[in-house]
Amino acid sequence: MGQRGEARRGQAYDGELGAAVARAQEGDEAAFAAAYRLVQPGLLGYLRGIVGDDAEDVASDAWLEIARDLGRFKGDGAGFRGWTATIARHRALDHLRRQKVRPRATALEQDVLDLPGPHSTHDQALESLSTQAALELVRGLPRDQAEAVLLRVVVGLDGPAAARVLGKRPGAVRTAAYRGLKRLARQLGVDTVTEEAPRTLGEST
Amino acid sequence: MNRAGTEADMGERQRDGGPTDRRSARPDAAVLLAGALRADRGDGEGERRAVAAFRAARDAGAHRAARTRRRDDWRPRARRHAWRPLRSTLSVLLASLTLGGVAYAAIGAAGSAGDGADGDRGRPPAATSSADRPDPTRPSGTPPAASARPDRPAAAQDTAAKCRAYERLEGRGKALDATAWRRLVEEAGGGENVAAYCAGRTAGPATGKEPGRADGPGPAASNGNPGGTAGQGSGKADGNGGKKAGDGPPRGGDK
Repeated sequence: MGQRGEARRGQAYDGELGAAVARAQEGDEAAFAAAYRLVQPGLLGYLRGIVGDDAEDVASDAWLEIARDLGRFKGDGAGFRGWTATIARHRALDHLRRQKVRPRATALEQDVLDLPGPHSTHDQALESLSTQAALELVRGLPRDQAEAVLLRVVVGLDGPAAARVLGKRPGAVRTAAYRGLKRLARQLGVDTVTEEAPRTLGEST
Repeated sequence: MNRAGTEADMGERQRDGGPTDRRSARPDAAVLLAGALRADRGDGEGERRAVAAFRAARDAGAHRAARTRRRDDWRPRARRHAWRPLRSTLSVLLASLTLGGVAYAAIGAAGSAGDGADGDRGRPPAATSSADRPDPTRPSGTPPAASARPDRPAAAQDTAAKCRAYERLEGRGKALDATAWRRLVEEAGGGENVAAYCAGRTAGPATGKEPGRADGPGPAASNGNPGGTAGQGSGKADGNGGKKAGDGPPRGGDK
């Protein structure tokens, strides 16, 4: 549930993305490039969470398949995110099978977090969390939680779409995403869910 | 309300409030992650490769010829599944119609069979009556045997059985008063002719003058001997013939 805002953020581009995909399916090369630019950041972030430094290569393979099979796709912008995420996930799993690469064990909070305390503002925290630190955190999660969080938050899929990508029931994915985010929040020291968590100044609800 | 924030709270806040609202709220793990992981400046090279692959596929006609598989169909759920209830409704309707039709046909078949048995007893399906009917109407017994195949062995067995019992009982007891014997006498054309009539019946298979009857008396002869004594009173001596003879009395009595 908590990721729906993020999903909506991704969806803000979905109208534009859907139009670009439709034009690309008609053969418009520039439209395909536009779709790539809209989708690739989230896709790459997701792949980084799964395969780490090999994400660029896996994404490249995925895009070859996307470009080849574009004629098969049916759907709108949000659907295109899900479709491409599914392809990218398959390529990533293939890659993991080949490389026997496993997500690393739990990251140490002190190593990766050079963050301000819980009282920091959103902007400060955002500036402070590097991509590398975020990845370490995500990859410290159990696999199902990490994937659920990445698909919801980074790719911007809604619950049912994320569940379809993962081949699981929406309820299971929702639970996994919730637990993963909760754990991340605790590690980040932001927006913790425990009662002892210091309240931030903006908290008035 | 000062309860601990949950992810759901975060979601609500993000959904309901705009960016400014979110900014004033607590830092959010989801926002942090998205900002950190999505912040990606496209490298140009990946895009060039992707577009080149797109161009190659398009020029090869791959996009036109491609068939949408199930996993390629990401149309919104409402539209994709809109006709599913309709389809399942139609399926259920069709299934119920089929089952109903089968049930109706079964009822109809049972009803018509019952009508035929009750209303038209002379019909061939009534196996027990078929053997009885030709006997009084056709004294010789041969014409119905020719017309209806099931009648032939039955009638022949019937007559042969009666004749054997007659030979055994000749001149003794009151067995000849029984309806079955009266009908045998009728068939023979008179009490004095029974012996001759039966001689013709029982001798028939032995001489083989009527090939069609060869089967009938054969088994009947084997049945007749052990059952002959039991047949004195009721005529239930043989498997088939005795049974029909047993049916005879009530019908004969009606006449």
